[in-house]
Amino acid sequence: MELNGVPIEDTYAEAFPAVAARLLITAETPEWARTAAASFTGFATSVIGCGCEAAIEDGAPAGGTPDGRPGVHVLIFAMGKKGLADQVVRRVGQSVLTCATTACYDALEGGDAWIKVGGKLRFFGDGFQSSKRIEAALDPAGRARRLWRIPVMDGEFLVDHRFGVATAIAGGNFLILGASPESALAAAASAVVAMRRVPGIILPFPGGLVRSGSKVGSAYKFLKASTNTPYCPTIRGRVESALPEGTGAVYEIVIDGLTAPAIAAAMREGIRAACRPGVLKITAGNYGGRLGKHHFRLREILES
Amino acid sequence: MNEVRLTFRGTGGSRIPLDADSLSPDQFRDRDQAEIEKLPLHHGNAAGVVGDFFTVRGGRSDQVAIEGDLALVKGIGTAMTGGVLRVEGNAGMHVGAQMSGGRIEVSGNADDWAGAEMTGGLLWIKGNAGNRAGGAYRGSRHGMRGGVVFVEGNAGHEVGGYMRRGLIVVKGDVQDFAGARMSSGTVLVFGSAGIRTGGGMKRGTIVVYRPPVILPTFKRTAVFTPLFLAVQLNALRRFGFPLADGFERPRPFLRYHGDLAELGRGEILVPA
Repeated sequence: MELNGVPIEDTYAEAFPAVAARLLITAETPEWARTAAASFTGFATSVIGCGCEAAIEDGAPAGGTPDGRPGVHVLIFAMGKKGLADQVVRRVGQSVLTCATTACYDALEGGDAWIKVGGKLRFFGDGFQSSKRIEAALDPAGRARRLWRIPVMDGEFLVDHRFGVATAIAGGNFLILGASPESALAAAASAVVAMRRVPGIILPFPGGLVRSGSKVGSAYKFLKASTNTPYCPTIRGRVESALPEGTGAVYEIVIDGLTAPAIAAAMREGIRAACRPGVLKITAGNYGGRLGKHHFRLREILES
Repeated sequence: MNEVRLTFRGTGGSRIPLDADSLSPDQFRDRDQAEIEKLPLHHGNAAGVVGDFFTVRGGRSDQVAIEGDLALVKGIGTAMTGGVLRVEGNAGMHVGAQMSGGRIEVSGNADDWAGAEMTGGLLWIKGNAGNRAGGAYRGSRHGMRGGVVFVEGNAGHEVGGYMRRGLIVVKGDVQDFAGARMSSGTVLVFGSAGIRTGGGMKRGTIVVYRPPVILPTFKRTAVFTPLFLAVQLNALRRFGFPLADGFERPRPFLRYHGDLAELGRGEILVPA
């Protein structure tokens, strides 16, 4: 199969079950909301090294937020509910509570479980915290909502008592093999722009793409993952390379999503945008189907 | 689902109220028309049935409409747990008292004790409410413990008295002792409030858009932007409560905390 003259390898991306939360951070201005969101999602590229994967999903216009102020949605993924709760509480506590004028709300619809966030952070109020209930009668889903008001030096920090947790998917991916670093990067950047329009997904790596793709295992006993040698152009010839002749650089785009269709939609948009002059091939990373239960076949995604 | 419709035929000119606790969607859900007509009522010391005072059409539904001037019919929707009850006219005392779910709409005025000690659901009064809306019965520790009361007109004395949780919204004015002795929840008054607002309150929030005389046992703290109020107001607006444009936007309020003669953890907010 080819798209715009770029071969699409007949393979699949292997992704893993995860849990996710969706937060809405609002602030006095869109800039402050984005500042808090950027801090919240900092150092959150990989579950292995950071404990979670997180990124900004989209901006929320003032008219659509609970307090009527501009906001930003963020998605955060972890391997289990306990780890997710730990990361969300730490990050809301250190990056949102601390940021001028912010408030933080649960923005997940239809979660499977709950984690306590405001219910833990409230103790920062040192006994002067108070809560407000938004009555179930006012909620379209008929669910009461409890918000904590924590006194801070610029007024009050408002945060939901609990946040929903959804069963989600982490590790959807595809790789862009370019003839040169410039062409590979340009294609990857185009893909990122297209993919960020898809709701319900994030691209957790810096700028939405990753250059240090990894493989399982290494030459060292203490290291469980190491550089993806078959896709490193500079050691081609010294290893069993997966790169076609003339490959100058490879970029991987990793996708975490709330649902499989959202990840598939993002991959479709991304691959279509990436298939442009200077790209030699599109492929995907997997472990032979042994590790992840979600398989995203590139050709099926593009044909659907 | 079909609607059950009751038309009030009056009490023959008597000024004695009709006790009508049985007028509730819970009672109509599994009864046909004949069974509804046999539900008990009391008129003074005389026992009667629904059919003596109302013309009933339909059955087996929790969507209920009652038409007529029911100002002397007490206890409509008492302790209801679900369904919809529309009162097309005025409602007597205790409408929606102790309700825990569902929705009551009163197109006219409601007399005293509307929504008293309710724990959930929505009571929407398009006209005025009497005294002690959302309040506590004599001897009770707590008044309203959850749910929402909307009053599009004015309300009387002791609105939200002894309130424990929930939200009361009055678009017009309230009289004296609003939120007196409340221990949590929110009373939101878009008009003015009478004297001793929040007297004896322990916790909870009273918002009055036309600042009342504040009791000396309340202490002025600071001007701030209460985001929880913006969340409440946005929820009200999305729900369809007729708020004036712009009211839902965050804005600065002056906060008084008190009542310092009690626990002192309550607050009265007035626009700054």
